[in-house]
Amino acid sequence: MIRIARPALLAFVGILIVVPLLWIVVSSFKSSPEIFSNPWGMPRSLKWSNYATAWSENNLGAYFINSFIVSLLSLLILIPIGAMAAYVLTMFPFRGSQFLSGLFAGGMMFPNFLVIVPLFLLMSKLGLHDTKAGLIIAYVAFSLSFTIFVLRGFFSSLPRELAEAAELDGCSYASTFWKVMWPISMPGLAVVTIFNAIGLWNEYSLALVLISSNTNRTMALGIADLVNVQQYQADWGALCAGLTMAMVPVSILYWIFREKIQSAMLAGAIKG
Amino acid sequence: MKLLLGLAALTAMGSCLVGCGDKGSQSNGESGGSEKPLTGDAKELKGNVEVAAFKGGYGIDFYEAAAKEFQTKHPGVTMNVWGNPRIWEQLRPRFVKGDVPDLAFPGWLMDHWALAEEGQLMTLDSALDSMAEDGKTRWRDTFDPRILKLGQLNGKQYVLPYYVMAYGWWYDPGVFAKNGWLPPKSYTELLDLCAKISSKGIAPITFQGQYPYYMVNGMLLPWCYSAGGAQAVKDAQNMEVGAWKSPGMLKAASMIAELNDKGFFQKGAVAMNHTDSQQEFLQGRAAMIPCGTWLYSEMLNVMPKGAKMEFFLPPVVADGAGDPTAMMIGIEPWMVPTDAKNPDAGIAFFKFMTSVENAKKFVEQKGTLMSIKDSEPANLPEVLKKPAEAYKASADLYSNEFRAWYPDFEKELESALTALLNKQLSAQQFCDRVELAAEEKVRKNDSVKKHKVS
Amino acid sequence: MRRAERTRFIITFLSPALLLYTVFVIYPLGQSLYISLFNWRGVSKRRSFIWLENFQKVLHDEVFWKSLKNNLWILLIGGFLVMAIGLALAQSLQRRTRGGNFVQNIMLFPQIMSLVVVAVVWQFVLNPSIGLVNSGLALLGLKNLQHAWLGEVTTALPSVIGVYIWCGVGFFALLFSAGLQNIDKELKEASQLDGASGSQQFTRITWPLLWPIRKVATIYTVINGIQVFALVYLMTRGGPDHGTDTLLSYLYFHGFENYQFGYATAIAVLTFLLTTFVSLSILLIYRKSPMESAR
Repeated sequence: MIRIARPALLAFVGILIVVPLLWIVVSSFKSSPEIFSNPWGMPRSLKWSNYATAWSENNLGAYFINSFIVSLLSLLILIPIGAMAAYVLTMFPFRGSQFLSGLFAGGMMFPNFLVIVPLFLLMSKLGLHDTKAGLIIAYVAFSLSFTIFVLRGFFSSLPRELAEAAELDGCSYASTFWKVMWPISMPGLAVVTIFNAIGLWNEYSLALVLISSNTNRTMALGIADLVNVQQYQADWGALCAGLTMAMVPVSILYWIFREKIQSAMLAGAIKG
Repeated sequence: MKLLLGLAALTAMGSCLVGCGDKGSQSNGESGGSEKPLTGDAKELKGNVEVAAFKGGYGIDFYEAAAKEFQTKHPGVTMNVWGNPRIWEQLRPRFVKGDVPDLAFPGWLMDHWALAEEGQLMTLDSALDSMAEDGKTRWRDTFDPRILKLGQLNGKQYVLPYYVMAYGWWYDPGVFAKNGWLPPKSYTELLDLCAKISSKGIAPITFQGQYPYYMVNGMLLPWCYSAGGAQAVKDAQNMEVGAWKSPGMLKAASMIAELNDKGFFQKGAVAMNHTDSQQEFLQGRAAMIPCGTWLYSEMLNVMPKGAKMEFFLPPVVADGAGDPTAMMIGIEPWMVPTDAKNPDAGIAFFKFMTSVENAKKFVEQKGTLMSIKDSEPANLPEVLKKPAEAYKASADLYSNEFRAWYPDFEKELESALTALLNKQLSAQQFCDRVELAAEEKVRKNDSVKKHKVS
Repeated sequence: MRRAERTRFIITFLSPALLLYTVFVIYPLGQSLYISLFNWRGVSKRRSFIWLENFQKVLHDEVFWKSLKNNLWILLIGGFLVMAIGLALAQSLQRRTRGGNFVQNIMLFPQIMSLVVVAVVWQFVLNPSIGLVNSGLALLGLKNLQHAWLGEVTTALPSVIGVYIWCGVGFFALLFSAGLQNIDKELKEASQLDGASGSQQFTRITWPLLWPIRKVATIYTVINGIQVFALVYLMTRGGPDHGTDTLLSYLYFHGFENYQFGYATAIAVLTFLLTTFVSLSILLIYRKSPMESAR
């Protein structure tokens, strides 16, 4: 029984994941009427102009770079300060540390769009509206909950003796963290980095209100724009081209790093 | 336990921070928009002018081009025109803050009456009484008054129309000619025709099931108008007691239910969004579709070869009380926010856009009817000829106004319509449910401001 | 001396995160929560304080309860299936095969894509006239099973749950693989020598030892299940007849389409309380490891 069930399940899941995505890629080479008259066939001819339309109308190249900058800088700030806080909260219990852990964890239970209006007002008061810096700050702040939640789990599984030994050797608490604990925490840090990278790359609702000018727009905004414009112009071919362009870079990165991502996730999942 | 504590603290701390730091102004009763006389007449316009426009089916390229011309004409101003398909989401926090564009076209999902009621919009009557772009006519007189009044609230003009959308039905004349069919004028003709179309293996009617308001505007209200007369629709819009289960409304709902029961609607249309169903129509898998006049420009780039579309008014009830030439229309309004920094230039730009030449250009480029008189260009786009004829011949133009007044009620109406189409409700039950919604969501709801059709 | 250093260390390490979090998350959040006590349309500074009137109205709002019910269906049925399939998949992946490697490599794809992409893809797959599902059924001669999946009252919610599972199953499979790999091979082999059958081995060894993973998985499921929004909003906008409305999509409607921001935040507060309550119950259930109590 199981001998058949196993490959069957694998095949089923594999098909279910691949087919819809492949369909988007194939459709991106069709004209819109063709998608509707022959949705599941091969394109009659490759309609590359869909890509030209999606690209030129939406300036996706520039958005791509913006997304890259914003995500990267957010991660470079988020991961160290998140790790620092998680480390203190797990390894240095003090009165109120549990309370603070709960305070951070509570943030995961809110949808971001709830705070949009107050956050916008705050950002404009601080002069950070429509700046990459403002978006980065917001991203860091809103990713802290998840980051600290996962890292706390991770740190609590690390051997305490190692830190104690280093401290006995005369290391300060801070240098113990940076020189001893940080390096051995790499698997856990990789997990939160990856998850946050994916989340931030796709983030939409905060970016929508915190960014208004074209020069600062991110990829997620560009794609959403494309979907929305398509709603008024019914150009499914160009839409699929846009979606493909959005998927491909992520997929390539994922494919290159898949082993690392998986081992990191495996390591992190158990401990987190 | 620590989690609970933390969560409690999160709430408490947040509220405290607010309580301590926030001195948000409280409601202080009603006051209309700013009474600064706004004319757009200033001899020398100066400064930056921000125009925020909804990027929908007609794009924003026309406004951008107009801005360039305007800037050449008035070297003192710097125009900044931008747009987004979800611009209302971006504008909303800016309205709260008071950092607003000088001219706004926030699209159909911005509740412009909420803005007006909250004092966020300037009244435009003084501007309308000033001279139009040509310097000879009063600006007010350049608009079709039947359209202009749709922008009024309590007798004051808060928003202005630009293009006009007309609601009706569409068919493919090629397909109809080939089969010897004629667009139906009456409901009886419609039933006969549907039976014929069905027998050819084509779905007679498709519709935008995910957005039921297309059917509200394309069938329910026109048929209520036709069966019960102008007053029936007016009463329904005014949320008069019993208006949503009046004989006219019940007749309209029964007609929809009958078409549904006879299988004349395309199978699966309840799940289709607008572009899906419109493609189905263009692919020839459905023969007719209710939609506004934007249909052509929306589908222009994706029309299959050989497909054509032609407009006709919804078939009427043969012995109905309503005028058969009546036509439903709609606008997507433009407005000047109260806190605009350069409102005169904003309104001057809109005057420029509403000049007869520019209106004509807009018709040519975008293929729509306009609220500006005499804006019909010599070479009217083919697809617009029928709507323009019907528009001119119409004895009564009316508009779905409650949708913008009471979004919560509209949602319930649409939900009930979906339930009707899913055969979960009978026509009578549909009317009862909507009447109940009118009672609970509008009449008995103190937090909703009431409106009347003017 | 060391104690002072410790305090200083705690403060320096904690303050950047805490500062950012307080200013940019808690403060605006508190402001939002506070708004639930107001009648505010969210387009101007004007608002009026109405105490708990919004809450009173929400609790009498049929659609609110219907949305809650939908959420619970997604949470229970979707959550159960996503975990069950995830576990089955993880089991299948234990033995290294080429097919298994391939699936393992791609199973996170749905997770890393933006929900906009997911929603568009599935709208097409479920499209009544050209969609993969209905065309497939037609090919198999099962035309009577065709449905307007996202438009019929009876099929819309199950369809949404299906897509929800599609998105999440890879993550849970990975989570469980991690747990399974962690369970000592020796333990399993020992139990095999003891003559335990495959299913016995699973119930006696594997299932209890998966406890920590199950705990994490359940919490993720609950938070995700209550926060379903983008998928629903993009695929059905809560329709047909509120058949797929969730707490957050209903909240969104009131906040951003009906312009009743106070009312919307009252829904948010209730959602928040619910999430908290359910999460705490789960923590309580999973308080003690079964392994510990067995010892």
